[in-house]
Amino acid sequence: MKKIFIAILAVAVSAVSCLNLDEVAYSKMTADSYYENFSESDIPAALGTVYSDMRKLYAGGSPHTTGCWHYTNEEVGDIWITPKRGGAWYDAGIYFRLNQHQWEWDDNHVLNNWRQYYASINTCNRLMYEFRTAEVKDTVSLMAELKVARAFWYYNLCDMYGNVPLQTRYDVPEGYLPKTSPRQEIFDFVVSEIEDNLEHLATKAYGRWDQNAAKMLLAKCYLNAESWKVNVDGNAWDKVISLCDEIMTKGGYMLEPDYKASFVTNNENSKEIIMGIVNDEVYDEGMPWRLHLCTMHWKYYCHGNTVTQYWGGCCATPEFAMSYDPDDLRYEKSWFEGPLIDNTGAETGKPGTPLMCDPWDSRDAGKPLVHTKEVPIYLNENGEPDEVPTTGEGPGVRLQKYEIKQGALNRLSNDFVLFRLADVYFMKAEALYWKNGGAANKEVCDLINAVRERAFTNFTDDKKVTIGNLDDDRFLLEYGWEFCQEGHRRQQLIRFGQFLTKTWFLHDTPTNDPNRLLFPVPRQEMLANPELTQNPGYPTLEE
Amino acid sequence: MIKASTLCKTIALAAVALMCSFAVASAQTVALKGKVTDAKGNPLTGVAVIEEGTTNGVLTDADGAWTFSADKNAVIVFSCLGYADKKIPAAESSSLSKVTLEEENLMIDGTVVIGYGTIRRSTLANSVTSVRSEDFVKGAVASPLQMLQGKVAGLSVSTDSGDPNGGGVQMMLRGVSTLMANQEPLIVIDGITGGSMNNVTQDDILSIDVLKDGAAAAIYGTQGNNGVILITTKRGMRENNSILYHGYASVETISNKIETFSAEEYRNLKDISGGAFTPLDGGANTDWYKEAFRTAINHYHNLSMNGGNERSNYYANITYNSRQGIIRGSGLDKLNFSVGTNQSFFNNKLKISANLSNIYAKGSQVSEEDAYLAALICNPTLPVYKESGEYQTFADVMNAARCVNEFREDINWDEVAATGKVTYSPIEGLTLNAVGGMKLFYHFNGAFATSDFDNTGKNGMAWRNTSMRKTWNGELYASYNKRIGKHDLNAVAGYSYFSYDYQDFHGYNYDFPTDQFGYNNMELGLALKDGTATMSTERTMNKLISFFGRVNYSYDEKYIAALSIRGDGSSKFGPNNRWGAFWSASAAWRISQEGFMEDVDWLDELKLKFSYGVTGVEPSSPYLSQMTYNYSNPVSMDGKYIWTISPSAVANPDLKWEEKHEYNIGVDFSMFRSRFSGSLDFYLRDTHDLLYSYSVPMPPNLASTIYANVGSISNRGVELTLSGDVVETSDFNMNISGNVSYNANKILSLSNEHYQRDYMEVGSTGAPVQKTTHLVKEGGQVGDFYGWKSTGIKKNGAWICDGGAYGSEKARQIIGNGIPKINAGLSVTMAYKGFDLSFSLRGAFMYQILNQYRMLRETWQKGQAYNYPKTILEKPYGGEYGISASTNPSYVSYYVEDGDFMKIDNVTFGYNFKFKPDCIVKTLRLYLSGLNLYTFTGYKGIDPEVNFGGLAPGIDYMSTYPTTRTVSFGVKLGF
Repeated sequence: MKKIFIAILAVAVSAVSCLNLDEVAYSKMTADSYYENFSESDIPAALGTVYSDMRKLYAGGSPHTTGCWHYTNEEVGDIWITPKRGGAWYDAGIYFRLNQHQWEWDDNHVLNNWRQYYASINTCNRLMYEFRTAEVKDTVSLMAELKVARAFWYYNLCDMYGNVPLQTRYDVPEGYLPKTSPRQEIFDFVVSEIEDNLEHLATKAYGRWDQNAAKMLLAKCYLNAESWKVNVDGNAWDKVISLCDEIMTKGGYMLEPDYKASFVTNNENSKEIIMGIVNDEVYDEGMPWRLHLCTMHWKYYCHGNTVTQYWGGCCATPEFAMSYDPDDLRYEKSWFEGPLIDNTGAETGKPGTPLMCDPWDSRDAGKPLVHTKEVPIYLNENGEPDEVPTTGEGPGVRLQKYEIKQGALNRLSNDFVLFRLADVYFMKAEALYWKNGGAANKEVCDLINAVRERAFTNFTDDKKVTIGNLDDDRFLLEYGWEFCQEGHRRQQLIRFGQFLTKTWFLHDTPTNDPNRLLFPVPRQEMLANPELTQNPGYPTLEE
Repeated sequence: MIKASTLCKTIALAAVALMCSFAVASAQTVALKGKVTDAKGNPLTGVAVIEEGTTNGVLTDADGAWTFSADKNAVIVFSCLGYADKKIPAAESSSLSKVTLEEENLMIDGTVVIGYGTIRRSTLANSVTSVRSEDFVKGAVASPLQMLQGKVAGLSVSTDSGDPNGGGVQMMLRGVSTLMANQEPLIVIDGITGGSMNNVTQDDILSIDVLKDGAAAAIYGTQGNNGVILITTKRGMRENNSILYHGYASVETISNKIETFSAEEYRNLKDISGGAFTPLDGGANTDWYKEAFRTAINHYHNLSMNGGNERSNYYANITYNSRQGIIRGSGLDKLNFSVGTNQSFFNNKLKISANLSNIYAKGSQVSEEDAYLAALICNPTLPVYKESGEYQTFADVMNAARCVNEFREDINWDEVAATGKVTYSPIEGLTLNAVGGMKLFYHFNGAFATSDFDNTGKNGMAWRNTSMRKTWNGELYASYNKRIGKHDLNAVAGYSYFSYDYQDFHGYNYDFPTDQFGYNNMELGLALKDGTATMSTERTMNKLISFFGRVNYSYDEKYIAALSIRGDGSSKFGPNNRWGAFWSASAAWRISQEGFMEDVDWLDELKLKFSYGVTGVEPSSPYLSQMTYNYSNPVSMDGKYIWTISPSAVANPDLKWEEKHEYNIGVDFSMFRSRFSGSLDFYLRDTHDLLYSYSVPMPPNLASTIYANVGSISNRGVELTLSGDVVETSDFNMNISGNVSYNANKILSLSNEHYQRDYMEVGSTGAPVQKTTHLVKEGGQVGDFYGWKSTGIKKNGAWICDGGAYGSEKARQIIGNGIPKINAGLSVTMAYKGFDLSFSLRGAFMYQILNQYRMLRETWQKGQAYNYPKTILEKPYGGEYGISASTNPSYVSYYVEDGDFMKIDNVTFGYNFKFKPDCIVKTLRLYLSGLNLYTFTGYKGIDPEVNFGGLAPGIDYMSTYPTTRTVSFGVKLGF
């Protein structure tokens, strides 16, 4: 009898395991076990995603598909260009189209900015939901930080796409599709989210959304409001001025005596940075920041004694490179001009040998490899420029505002400077300038000179801006000299009304199309969500 | 011939031995004698000559002669495997003196393996193709599956790489019916599912059966969705004690070379190009091909042994195969062994068999795809080494010599498979089966790039990867056969369990003090100290549990019906969708058995068959139905680096089985005493709830793609197989068989209840063209190339495109399709006395190939460091202007070429020596065989046989391991 029982039991037990289809997760954590085991000590790891998302503004494997915010906002402007070089950097014309303001709704930059911003918004929505579900106590400051972080992404969407869906929940019903909201609604949401949550943020925390960073974000919203054609409750310029004053007086920041101090490899110690996004060559392997690879020629490795392969694309436009005052120290601190030398001897065997072109273009054969301010456009056998104008591998001074240290890997350790005090000076100056009817006054000049001072060994009167010389064009140049390569150029050009009218290198006809102040909703997203509305002047699926 | 008689002898001997124990002497006996021959008059050895209903009998001797005594009223039965039985009354002594046995045609009357059993072909209602070892593609095949190339209508087996480590054999049955990458059929070896081709060698295989229609495959449920290939090995054969050796040596070369400029031509390129390009003369004459390639020597040895008797026998096989690889430094050595034993107890009621096999492989790789690309594109006037002694460098590619000399990857893998089967027959007609199998796959690869590999100061890089895969499967099933009058019933029911466990470890380090240790002192790399070395581990599992059943019924061998059902449960789905039910129904009518057909002498067989079957697909990856979190992207939070945790994949709890519904209508026929036979099949297969990584809007979704059940695809086609013994004389025989299949594919929809969409774009041209290559659109076909239709080139080098400018959306159109619509194969075998000659042709038609190499490199703007294809000189479309330095690489139809080809796949010429039965040597065969000998095609690339799988088929990538041609000389020797 006993034996039979045992036999039946054995059969029953084995029958259960023979029908068990549960998944066992070894190298992943299931949502169930995540929520079950969630404790206060897990909050930093969860919240950290908000900040790893911010790294995607500029970092990632390739400039065509990742880190698009930085590229997009600079390549459409008058300072930074990626020309086609021989057969390289053609990339189906995507960089040329950015320069020409002829971007298409299928272009990677258009698509990936959208996707990245919404992925980051999803992170914020998800974390709010998760912290509520896991019943985290004392969530006021945590929620405030998430809401301001989310507001930052909507600020970017408002800036670049204008009319976008406003998605604030993570738990949505199946099949739910959000609709496009007008730009005003997005703007109002961003402003109210920051204003409502500002006081709950940390007073000061480097690399996080603290009160100063939030104030600066709010000031940026008001500063751009007019160019975004949105209504502001009250006077936008006054709001900018008072927010800037608060940061300048109570923030505890100072202008670094050396312009470069905020951009060196270990710039986290800069007292000027209000919002820095932390980078580290060791920890960032999965999401590398590769600005130096995009700009330097591959032979730079032996010039600068570094450990990586470079791609050699972007450089300064000739007009901008030549616009600097010869005494302006910021030129050399921002751009690399001159010949590439085999300093280590790794390429030629003889240290100190000047390097030669590869050449990427047969017209460069036998030429020394020199980065020049001039960027000659080559003509083909018919005496015409190519369909996408082409230059060689040498022309153009290269980006080196962010220091490339000796032994640099294929990712930079320098923290990315999103907001810094000098910009607060400029923003206040600009608000005063517009408030004064688009004209400078002493306060405006003082603010700009305060920043400008460190750029000259002898800051004599002839180096100062004055009521007489500070007009729109000069203001934009001042912005350029101080803030080039920082990702704000598109906004600056738009605010000064020159984005559509100005011409510059290769961009030799004014755009004149107000629809180009915004980017299109990417085609892939239009395909996936029929509820989306396209911005004016861009194709829709029906066409 | 010799083989057939050996078989006869074995079986008959066994039968006689068995019967002797029960033999009872008979009263009125007569002495009988005679001689047995085949249709051609050759004596048959080992034919059992038995008095019907008794155990009294003898075997024929070497001359086919026999003599014994039997009851004078008895009927004498002559039987031998492979021949139809013959019965002659003992009284007809004249008829007995010279008996001729007719060969059974296996195409019609042989048994067919159908999964969990076998069935006589005559009572089969499905589309199943059987290929016997003598019909295989011969020669130095890279995988046993290559032996099926061109042999099975509807099954396309293609080889798109010559990489000895890469396999490179792709299979696709009846078109693309799933959007997932895996379109390969299920492999079942001796009844064990989930088999691996690694563990069988070409000499192991007796026959291969391919279950083509959905109804036949439905018994395997989800695993059978892409068809089933059932392999029967020789392991269970009960031959007499024998030893067989098969060996060959072969010479392997690149199948074809793309024409680029020689150093001499390069120097004159300014003239040759009409001034479009000014070359750089580096002063050298470098043949970059030679830096990368060589003529490879391969050899293969197989030794197999059989022994034992009916009750207890064994099999052992050992194979050594060495392949050099045509790219210097690449190669693969493999050692397989397998042993097996079959035992029977209690009057054959209980049978136990066990097999153990192991393969040990040792491969080596260099930077092969780069080496090939470098051979194509580097300037031939540049020397391999600079004056300083360092490697010449190129921005687009690594120096070919560097690829071959400075990087090496060792790949060692080991696969052990153990299988066992217990069969018990308690009563007549009923068998209970228990099958178990375990497979352990251990993989190691270690790679090292020397300090000279690149010039970026990495100072030596080393990688080490290990992985282990364990699969367990068990099956319990019962089968029952019953014949009552004209009713014949066969039923099977069972349970199946399959589990999979995978784990791996990867390590990477660089900056080594010396190159001498390779990857064997990985801790020495300073990157580990600097924090930039990497390490990763992973472990995953999944399970599949099934219940299945099938009933086959036939009435008077005239009307046939079959029904099968299988319930599959997969751990990859959420709890609500785990189980899927798949079923099939088949019917056949053997018209030739009807009374009204009796007078039609020339027709042996005419069968109409119809079937309908449903199979399912589970996702290829586990953990898709539930949300999982993982730590990634570390960030600094308040001055300290921590990992961040976030969802690692977007879960879809609604994920369910993809279902394929397939109809098959066909006719099998055979005529003139089976000299001509064939079959014709029409099929329609619709797949619904396609599993695909699908674009969803973001917001509200966490990511822009989700794995979901979306849309449906339809494939319809026709397959024709014909075979004929065209010449049949005593000295000369010739058989011609061929097959042709046509498949048309249509995407019915790409929407589901949540998301609607019209189309998606997939595939990539690569930089710098940066376009998607294929359009997947409702109403379109899988594999449609979506680009710009060029009609000429302008003076300034820009393309003229139909309907608008290159790059404009409105001018974009379908410019070809990457999947062949027609596949065909033709085999001819001839035998004259001891000589035999066989050749097989194979072709694929009605498809296009995107020639990526031409698209990206047919432009002078690549610069002076590079070589160019000679086709760059052609003036597109016979126009006035050619390609200039300002022609940007573009995705235009000029580079989408017709791929149609016909290949001489295999030619084998052999001689079989004849030996006397008492000679120690039983068989000896010498042969010369060539594989992939010549391709007739207009395609300008290296080989029109490119990757036809996935959603972006038909792209000929420029970085590849090119296909090869082999010529072998072989010996088969038997004792």
